[in-house]
Amino acid sequence: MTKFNPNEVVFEKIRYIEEFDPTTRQLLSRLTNVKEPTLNFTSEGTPVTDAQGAEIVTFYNAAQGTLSYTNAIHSFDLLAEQFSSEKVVATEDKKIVAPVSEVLEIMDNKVVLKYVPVGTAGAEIKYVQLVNDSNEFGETLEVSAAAAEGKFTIDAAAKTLTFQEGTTGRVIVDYEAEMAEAISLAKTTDSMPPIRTLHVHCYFRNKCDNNIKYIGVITFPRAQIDISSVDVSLTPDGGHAVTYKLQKPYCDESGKLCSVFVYKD
Amino acid sequence: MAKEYNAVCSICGQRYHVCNTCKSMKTQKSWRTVTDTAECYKIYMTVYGYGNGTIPKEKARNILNGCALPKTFQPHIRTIVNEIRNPDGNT
Ligand SMILES: [Zn+2]
Repeated sequence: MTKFNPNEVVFEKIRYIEEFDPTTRQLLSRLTNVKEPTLNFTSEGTPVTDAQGAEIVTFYNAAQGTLSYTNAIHSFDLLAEQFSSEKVVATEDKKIVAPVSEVLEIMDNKVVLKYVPVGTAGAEIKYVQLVNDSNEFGETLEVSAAAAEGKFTIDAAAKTLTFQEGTTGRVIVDYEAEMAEAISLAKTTDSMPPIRTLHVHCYFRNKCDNNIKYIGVITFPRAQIDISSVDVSLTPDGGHAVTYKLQKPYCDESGKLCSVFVYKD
Repeated sequence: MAKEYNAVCSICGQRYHVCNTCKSMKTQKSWRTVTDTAECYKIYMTVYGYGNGTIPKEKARNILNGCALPKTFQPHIRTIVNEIRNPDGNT
């Protein structure tokens, strides 16, 4: 059997990037829409010079690396890591309280909300804003225990707000409601991004025979998301850019920043 | 720093300071969004319950009799408090 020893190959694409917990090896996420991946390594060079100042040799040490890529699709798992926080997923028992905004037409002095508002009992919504047909702000109405001029009352369970007789037009209602189907993320001012083990899975093709496919896996034992600058593009085609700082395993003498494996598909 | 008054009690009409971002507001003192004191919130919930029919007049009167009523009332609250406390009135 001839030895499998490819040198020049055609890079086809990244299949996906997997993230593991470095200690438990639990798979935490898999990003499948990776584009524009770049890997960069730097080292500190210390030249050794002779008496005349001519360079004899340069020692390189303290190698560092970064891995950057853009996920074509926005990823909340990735964003949670960039926020150095957990993505909270609501359940029927543990609902998430989220902000809601509605513009409703007042009918028979009432409006019916989409969700059950939460907050201080009997005053779950403190203010609402009347708007006219040109979307201009009108009077601000305040919650009250009883109906009166400039006031409204709330029946949270029935999702109903009741206004003073004769109140017409549209009303902007901002409130908070419990959601059973929701997620939430938060970025705090001081937080430490977790260390992950990354596996970048790619496809290569034989440069002479395109039908011969190779699988490449680049592993990074310790990668930490760089949060010194996080740009979240709030556009449909923006993609989700991320940069990892590569570190060598702390207790590992060999100090591998990354390893590359290629095998036949 | 002196705290500015930024809210008006929806029962007694007194001005008071409320901070909606403070931690205590999000836990035990959320009534401060509508009233200045816990006592005023008790009145708020009584008037509210009386208004939507969940607290009968007799029971509402008993609750109000057990409250330290404030010196002042917002006019529309005053009307209902008087109505509740008047044993001869209808409803
Ligand atoms: Zn008060």
